[in-house]
Amino acid sequence: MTISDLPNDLEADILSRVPAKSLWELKTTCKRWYALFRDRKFVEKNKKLGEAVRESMLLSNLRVYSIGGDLQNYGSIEFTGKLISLKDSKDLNFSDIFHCDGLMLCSTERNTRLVVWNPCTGQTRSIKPRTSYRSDDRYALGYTTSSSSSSSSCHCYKILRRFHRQNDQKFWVLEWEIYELSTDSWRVLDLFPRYSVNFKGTSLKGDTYYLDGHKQSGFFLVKFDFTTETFVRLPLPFQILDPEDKTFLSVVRDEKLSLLHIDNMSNVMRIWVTDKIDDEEAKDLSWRSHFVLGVDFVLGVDFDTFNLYVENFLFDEENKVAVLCCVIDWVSKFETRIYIVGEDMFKQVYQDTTSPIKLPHLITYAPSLVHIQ
Amino acid sequence: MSKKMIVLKSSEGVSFVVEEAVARQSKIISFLVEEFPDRELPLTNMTSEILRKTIEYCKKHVVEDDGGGDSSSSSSGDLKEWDVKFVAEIDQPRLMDLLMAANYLDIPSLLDVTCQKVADTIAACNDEKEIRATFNIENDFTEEEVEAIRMENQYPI
Repeated sequence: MTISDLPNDLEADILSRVPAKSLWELKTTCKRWYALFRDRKFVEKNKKLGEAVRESMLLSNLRVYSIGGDLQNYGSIEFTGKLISLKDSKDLNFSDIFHCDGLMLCSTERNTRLVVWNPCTGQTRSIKPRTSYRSDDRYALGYTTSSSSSSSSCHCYKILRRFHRQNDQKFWVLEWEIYELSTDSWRVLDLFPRYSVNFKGTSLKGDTYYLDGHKQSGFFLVKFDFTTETFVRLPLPFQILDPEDKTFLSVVRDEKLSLLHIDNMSNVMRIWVTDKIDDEEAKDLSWRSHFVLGVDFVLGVDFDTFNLYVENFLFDEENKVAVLCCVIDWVSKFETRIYIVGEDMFKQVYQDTTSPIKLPHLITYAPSLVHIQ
Repeated sequence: MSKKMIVLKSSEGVSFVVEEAVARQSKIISFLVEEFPDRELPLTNMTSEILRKTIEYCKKHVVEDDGGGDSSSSSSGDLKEWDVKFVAEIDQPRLMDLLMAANYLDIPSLLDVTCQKVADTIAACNDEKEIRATFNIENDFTEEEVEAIRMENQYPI
């Protein structure tokens, strides 16, 4: 009796428990397995059962680096130093990476190219523009869940693009369009009210969340729902009264939304977490407050927080440890710094010079076998 | 209080006398003893060795319902540890037989631990050669086909 003699569903059940990355290394064991690893139903099952070992990557100075281990378990950050070689990526400079469901939406410098990439399988797909991309475009990758054809649910991926267009009166206006990977086509969305969404979004359970608002009107949270293709406005757990306050958004382990808030007056940094995002009419997100720290303690007293921008952060709710990926504006130069901070720890683990057009981004993700259709 | 016993017979014709509560962890046996009380149950596709192992597992996992809170079986932590040791001591071919037995007799918890053990073994394999050797899998790919698959996933960005 060997594994090949088992009934197919039992064999698939066993294989679905193996982490995606290990499976992919064994893809050419036999044809049956190779076909199975590309089967959508199997991939979804594997995501649930495969206890994927999370991986991390850092975009810094237009290059993508893999980082050893799961950053959300912390302790330390270990750069394997290896540049993830997108073949001979000499001429490819990545200005941004957006993570969703184990897939990366990569845009090259000045948005000359847009590519969906699965770092686990190495599969890529270039996304052609409807007309052309612009350097001030903003992209997000999301999905809807269809349960039509078979009993299992599969994800249908979409890309949201925010772009500027000059209208008949020669005014620049914000427009939105959406691309469906299954049909390989773009279509313009008629969205009103038009949120400006000037901050980078973050993906959670297929939808994208943004911070939005103005100093005058106050800030709030906006969800772009990829199923209804509309924006939904959500409350923040606090009122930002001081325009110099800073707020940043992130996700915890693809399950919860977290907010980092730096109060300008008190210089206190606070992280909030909510997992009440599934409620459709989520008027009250039940935010839990965690991790109140004086910024002076956290980041040292050698610079003004005015010059500090948390590009993104990761938060381990259980151990109350955060990884902050920051850009510091020293006026004469810009610097990327990564800090690991906890209730009684503070460690700088990365430092590099950068520029406002080369913003860093830190990602932790669960590798998956998702086949980009 | 005497406990009700039933008889399970392996493919070699060896009879195993087992407490009914122990055997009832198998949904199939549970069904059969209700349909055919007082009859020994022939399990023609299970060797004595595998049947003995299965019974050993079921004995350990039987939930004692004689009321005594403290005297009842192990805590779930201990039980998990026992399970790990139990499957670690079985070699690959027998593990597969045990997995099939758990599947056939419908013992969900035994099926779960054996499947997980096989999955862990697969995850520990370094390459295709090792996994084919471990599980006796036939390579039905030609070298050209393998090369084509490699090329397909070489970040052709």
